[in-house]
Order: sequence, then C-alpha cells, then structure tokens
Amino acid sequence: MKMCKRCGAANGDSGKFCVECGAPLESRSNRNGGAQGQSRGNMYGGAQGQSRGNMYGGAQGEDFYGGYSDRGPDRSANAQEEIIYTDVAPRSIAVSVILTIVTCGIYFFYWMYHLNNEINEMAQEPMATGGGTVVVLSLVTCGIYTLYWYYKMGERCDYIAQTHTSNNVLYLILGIFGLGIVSVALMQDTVNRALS
Amino acid sequence: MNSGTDLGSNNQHTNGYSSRNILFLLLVCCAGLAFLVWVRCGGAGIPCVFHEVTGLKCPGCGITRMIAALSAGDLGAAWRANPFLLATLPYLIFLLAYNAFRWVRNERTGPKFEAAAVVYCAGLVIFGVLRNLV
Repeated sequence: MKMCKRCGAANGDSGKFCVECGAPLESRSNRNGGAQGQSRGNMYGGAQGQSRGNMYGGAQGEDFYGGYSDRGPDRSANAQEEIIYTDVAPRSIAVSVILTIVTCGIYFFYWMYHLNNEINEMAQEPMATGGGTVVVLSLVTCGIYTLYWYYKMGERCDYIAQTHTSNNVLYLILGIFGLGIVSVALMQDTVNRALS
Repeated sequence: MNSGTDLGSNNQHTNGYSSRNILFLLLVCCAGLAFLVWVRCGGAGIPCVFHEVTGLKCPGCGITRMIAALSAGDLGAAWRANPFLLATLPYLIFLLAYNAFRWVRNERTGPKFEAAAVVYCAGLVIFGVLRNLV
C-alpha cells in the first residue's frame, strides 16, 4: 500500500497516481549523487523548505547530457528515466510580479530564495549557494551580489532550457538597469516551461 | 483521506487546508499591520532599489503612503500617492485573496485567473510608463 505524499490517502501498490488528488505516487529526486531528500531543507543548509502540494510536472524523458558533458554525474544511463521534481512546482509570473510590486520588493526576496533553490536543483547543482545565503548577500552588498547572481542563474537557465542563448548576459544587463524583476520573471518562465 | 491525527508531510488536515500556509499568511498580515502602525507613527518606509537606480517611479510607488492615508481616511492623499492602485483596489484585493485561498488549499489557480492576473499586470506596466511621462 502506498500513501500519497500530498494528501495522505491510501493507494494500491500498483497505482502510479493518487486516486484522491492525482499527485504522482512514485517520487524520485533527480540524480544528484544519490541525494534522497525530498525536502529542500536537506540540501541547502537546513533552510525550511516550503511544502508545495500542487501539481508536479516533469521533463518527459529529456536527456540533459548532450553538449554539457562536464556537468554533474553521468546521466547517459538514465536517459530513458522520467525526471520528476517533487519539490518544484510552476509559479504564476503575473501574480508574483503583482506581489513584488505590492510588497515594495519584499516578496522579491522570497521569490529569489525559492527560484535559486529550484534552479539549482533542476540544473544538477545541489552544492551551489543556497537561497538564504543569496538573499543575505544581496541585502548586505546592496544588490552588487545580485548582479552576479543574475549571471549565474542565467547560465543555469540556459542549461535547463537546453538552448544556446546567452540568458546570463541578458539577465545581468537587465539587472544593471534596475529591471531585475524582468530577469527573475524570465527565470521563472524557464522553470515553468521545463516543468510542463 | 487521512485521519485527523495524521498530518502527513504537508501539514494537511482532512478539510484540505494547509495549516502551515495559513500560519504563514497570518504572520504576513501581522507584519503588514505592524508596518502600518510603524509608518503611521512616523517611521520610515521601505527603500526602493529601482527608484534609487533609475529615479523613476515604479507602478507601486507610493503604496505605503496610500495605505497609510487610507487608514487615516484621507482619500485625497491616497489618490495622489498612487491613483492606479487606489482605483483598482477591489480588483487587486480579489486577485490576492483568491490566490491566497487557493494556495492555502494547496491547489493551483486556473488559466482564467492567470489571464485576469496578466491583464492586471499589463495595466500596472502601462500605468508605470504613463506616470513617469506625465
């Protein structure tokens, strides 16, 4: 008998999706050298992961191996496996922009924190700087560190989206001109697309 | 359905609400109220990176002053602080409340709500441009 991780309902052994709420029953983190934890708190220095019981997407059989052979563990053997990110869910960009504006930018740090961790997870970089550190460094350096962060996230978004665009440069330039909110919206769009 | 004593990994109770999310929202509301009291007592607002860097007013510029004026009953000052947000306040409250309601139930909002939010965002952007030109 399998218990659904989202709603707790009991399901049969052979089911793939919960009969009550539809969440996938099999949960696998992506291949990060055997990391088993589903909670973000395990990977990022004890920061409290936000539980996201909403829809779980997954890149369908995409092989991230092509063209980035230096990155992460060897995934050629896993090319056929579905990647399911159980902690990452799509986020509405429009609502996030509205919340950022309405909270004078405080929501922006919440958004930055979660996007950082989600993008690191999806780009196979579990040892990258955690969201809490990123927020603290951004505040302490009055945004200078944030420009660097835009650049790094842009690189990872290029990796996730499997494109050869220079998102890193784009995000950095937007950040320099005070339009970091656009950078973050574009990052969220990359994540949303990768999950759909 | 899980029993009432089994909270599961999402802190969900049998009626489908995430107590953790509710608590988070309550904390945010308390923080907001505390900030309002602070501002009404003459405290400083939140510094804006965008305004410092560009000198322009973003669509949300003046929201703190607007809410402080509203809490004092001064509609004129609230209108001068941020006319767009004041005019669309019911719609904005609906967007935020509905989103919060769905979030607390661990549900996602649908495409119609998304369209409504995008329309509001477009309005914000247009207002942001216009207020710096006029």
